[in-house]
Amino acid sequence: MHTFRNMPIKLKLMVIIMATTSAALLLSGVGIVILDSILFRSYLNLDLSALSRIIADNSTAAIAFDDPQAAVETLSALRARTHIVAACIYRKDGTTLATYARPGAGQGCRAPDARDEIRFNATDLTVSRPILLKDRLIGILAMVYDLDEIKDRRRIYGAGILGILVASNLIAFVLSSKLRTVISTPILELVHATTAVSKTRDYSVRAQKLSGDELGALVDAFNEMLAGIESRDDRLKEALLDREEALTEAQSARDSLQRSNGELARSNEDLERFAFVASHDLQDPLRMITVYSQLLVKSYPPELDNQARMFVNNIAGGTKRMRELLADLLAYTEIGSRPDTPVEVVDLNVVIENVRQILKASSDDTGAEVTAGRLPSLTGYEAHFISLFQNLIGNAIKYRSERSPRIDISVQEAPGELRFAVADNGIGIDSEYHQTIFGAFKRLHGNKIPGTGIGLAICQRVVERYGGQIWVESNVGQGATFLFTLPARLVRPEERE
Amino acid sequence: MTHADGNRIFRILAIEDNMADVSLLRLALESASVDCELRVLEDGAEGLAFVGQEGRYAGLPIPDLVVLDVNLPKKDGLEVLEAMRASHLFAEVMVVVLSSSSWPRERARMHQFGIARFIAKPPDLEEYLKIGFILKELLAGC
Repeated sequence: MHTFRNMPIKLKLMVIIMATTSAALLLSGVGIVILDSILFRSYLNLDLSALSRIIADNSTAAIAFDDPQAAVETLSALRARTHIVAACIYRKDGTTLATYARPGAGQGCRAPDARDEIRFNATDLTVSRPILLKDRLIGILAMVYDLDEIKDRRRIYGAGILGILVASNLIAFVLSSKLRTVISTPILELVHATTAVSKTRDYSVRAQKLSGDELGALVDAFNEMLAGIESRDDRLKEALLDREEALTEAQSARDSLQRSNGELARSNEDLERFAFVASHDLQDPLRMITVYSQLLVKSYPPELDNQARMFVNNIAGGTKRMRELLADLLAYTEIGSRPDTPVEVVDLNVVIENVRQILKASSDDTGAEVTAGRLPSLTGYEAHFISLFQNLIGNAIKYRSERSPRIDISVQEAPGELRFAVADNGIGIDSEYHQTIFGAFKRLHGNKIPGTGIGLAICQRVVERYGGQIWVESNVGQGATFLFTLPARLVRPEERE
Repeated sequence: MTHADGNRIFRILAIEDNMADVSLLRLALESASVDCELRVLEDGAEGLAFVGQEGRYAGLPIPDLVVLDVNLPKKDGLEVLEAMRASHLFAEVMVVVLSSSSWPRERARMHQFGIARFIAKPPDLEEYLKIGFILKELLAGC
């Protein structure tokens, strides 16, 4: 059964057709044989009944006259019927008057029986008929008829039916192999279409409709389903394409942004490197000018008059100032040159102490006093914070009033940030200049007070680098307070409350 | 090599491309009264040739002191120093680096190769002349 289930439809159809044909033929064959044997028996019955009656009627005279010779003659007429094996005529008392036996037959008649009957036995048929004369029993006729004829007929019928079966199966095979395509071709077409779709994912494939029957309806339904899938697939593809396009656009926008960011960072970097290298390399020739003008003064004292000496001193002064400017420029560009993620922890109390040492000479000269409250430790670069406080405190000393400089450093916590204040009692700054003083090389006081004008620019750069802001609160003659903020996240976690 | 009065004459090799600096070095040595024969090479390639005793430098005596600039034409001072430390003849020769730059990283790299001193070229005459005395002191120790 399993093998049949897995057979191709073509073969299945053929098997079904041939099995149906064979079964119908076999059944009708068996029916015919059964019907024939029934009909033949009734025919035999009538025939033998008539025959036995004729024989019985013809033998009444022989029995009446007890003439065995005549009886034998009557019986010998049976020779024409080859299936009659034996026949006997018995007298009324049961004694045998005459017998007939087919040549070669070993079988004789059965014992006389007065019943008028034809009895079918397993292998033969026995006839027994009373012989009457004027309705009086005078003798009995017995006959034995063999059933070979029935067997022959069955053999002939069997062979015929078998022949017809074979022939009709042959015809059925030929016909079905032609006709099965009517069923199997549309199915195979459908199978091909399905396979193609599942293999190629091409939903534009359609199965060809070859018939208007249920298979045709199936093909229509299948094609309709494919069309549905195809349109959904198209929509999906379109949506994917749209999304891809949008992604590509976003990506290219991001790329170009990144590129310009990178370019900006690079050009920034280049600019800084240029400033750094320039300020560094320019120092060397200036060093030469300084040293050689010193050498000039030193080596040729008698020959140099006072004016020449002044010229040389001006050269020396100019180069010294240029060296200072370059050094400050170097310090300014250096702020941006360090990596963005500092790992140093800077204790601001130590920074202030360092700055006190650096500025010791000028604070000793002016009697300056620097006071500071307890300051936090921050994540950052120490050099930056030294620069920041050195410039702020240095400025406070530089721009002092007649009084001795008093500088106080304090810090306050505000939400998310720390607010530092460096307050002095110096000459103060006109509010008009509160913004400009933070510009590089911006100075308010000309050459009266030495300086390059980059100190506050450095301060601003340091503070902004760490994400803070710097500004000044001051009035002329009332001292100045420089305020700056730094993000609270710079404070080491263990110091936070 | 000794002088007529018995003082030793030191052989100093300066590898320096800036002749203004060479003059100052000579002045500093004179003012510190260092008896010396100063040979000057003007770029790093010449320095390498000297260290390798190649061509016209073949068989020349080994100097007592090498004064080496860092930024040199062709081959820089670090390469010359490396070659010196790799050669048998120059491995133990005293080296003073006299550089116009004083970047810490450069300084650290020079120190890795065993230098006697790293001196930043000073922007002041008096400071420059002091170099003569520093070199004299170093030479006295060898």
